[in-house]
Amino acid sequence: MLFPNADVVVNPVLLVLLGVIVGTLGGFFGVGGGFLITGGLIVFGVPEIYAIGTGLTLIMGSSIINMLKHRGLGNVDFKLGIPMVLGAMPAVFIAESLNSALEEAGQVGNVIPYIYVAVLVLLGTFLVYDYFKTRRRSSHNTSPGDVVSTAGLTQRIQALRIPPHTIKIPGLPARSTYISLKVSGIENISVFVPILVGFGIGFFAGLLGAGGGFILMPVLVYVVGIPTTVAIGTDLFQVIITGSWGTLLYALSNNVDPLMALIILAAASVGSQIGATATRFVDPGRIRILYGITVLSGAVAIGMGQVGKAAEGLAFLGRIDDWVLLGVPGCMCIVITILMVLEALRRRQAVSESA
Amino acid sequence: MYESLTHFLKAFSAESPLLWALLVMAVIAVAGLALYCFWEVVLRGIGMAFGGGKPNGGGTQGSRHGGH
Repeated sequence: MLFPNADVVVNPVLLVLLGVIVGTLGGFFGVGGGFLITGGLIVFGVPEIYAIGTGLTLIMGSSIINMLKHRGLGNVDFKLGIPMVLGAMPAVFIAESLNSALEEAGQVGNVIPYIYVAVLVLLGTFLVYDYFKTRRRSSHNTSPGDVVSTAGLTQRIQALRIPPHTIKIPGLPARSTYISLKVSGIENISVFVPILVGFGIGFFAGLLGAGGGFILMPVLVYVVGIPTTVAIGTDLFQVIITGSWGTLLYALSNNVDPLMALIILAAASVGSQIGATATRFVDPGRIRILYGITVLSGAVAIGMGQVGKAAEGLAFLGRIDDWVLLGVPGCMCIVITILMVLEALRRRQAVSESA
Repeated sequence: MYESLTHFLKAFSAESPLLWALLVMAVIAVAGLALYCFWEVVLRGIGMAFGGGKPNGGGTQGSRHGGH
């Protein structure tokens, strides 16, 4: 099938498969999946600039579906999400300026992929380490649920008192800068905490050219102390904003193929139903370790690409890296579906036994 | 039909970049909303057909307000 804007012929069946994978992982982990979409489209022969632009457009659309689905499940905390978005916006501009400076110095190609790999390795390793550490601590050596090894840190972060403690807006009474996040189960937290988190994530996102969702979800869980399912839903809210901004920029320079995005989006909506529904059945601890494995596979794929470029004898690594990038998430979708079905059957059996 | 759509997409994107960008965003956002509504209706129908009036059967996962 010919896609007129990108001027490329792609088999729509491949796009549908990519869409189902992206939708499932987006709904389950609360990430936009930018690295997966862009990598996948490049493998299918789409020019890189169109792969990025169309990917951002798809991130925006699929995040809308996933966020609405999670909102229905009570997993989106808008009082947390809005300050984060406000913090992220200026940070993205600062990071993009730094990126431009690095580009002028000819360092982007050298620096960014290594930072990306380092962040993914650190994140993935920590998620796997945390899962096993909290699992060992639990009384029956079972999955840790929403218990994390950084509970002390999250309590200190939530207890931070950051001045000013009140803000006076002309014509209005003074307002406290502390908010209650009922959906997240936090009674009192400084509004500057989510603003600073948004700033940090926005900076990383702008620097790495990603939506930032893949860092935000673990930061919300391990640093701020948000329950995993709420972190997933709220993360998607932030991804809609960054995805929309990226879509606008790339569409203005005519680097988006909307027809391709619509086909993938329709398929992603099927995956979204599976992924978001699975968060009701799969234990939060398991969600985090599966996410850790997916993140590590992303690090391996990007690392293989870099090694393939740097070492002539290992050039074959650069040819199979994208297949690793797609293969592991594809397998992850199957694992998620199996875990969801098994848990649903177990619950049904428990209900029928108790009756 | 497909050819005229192709022609429109190419011509409009080249002639009016701002309108094109806004159109792309609007189409994707509306498509996202429509797909969400479509699946809600479908799943509700399936839930009512097989779950005795309770759509999307199954409880919520884990403890939302605690555990940290």
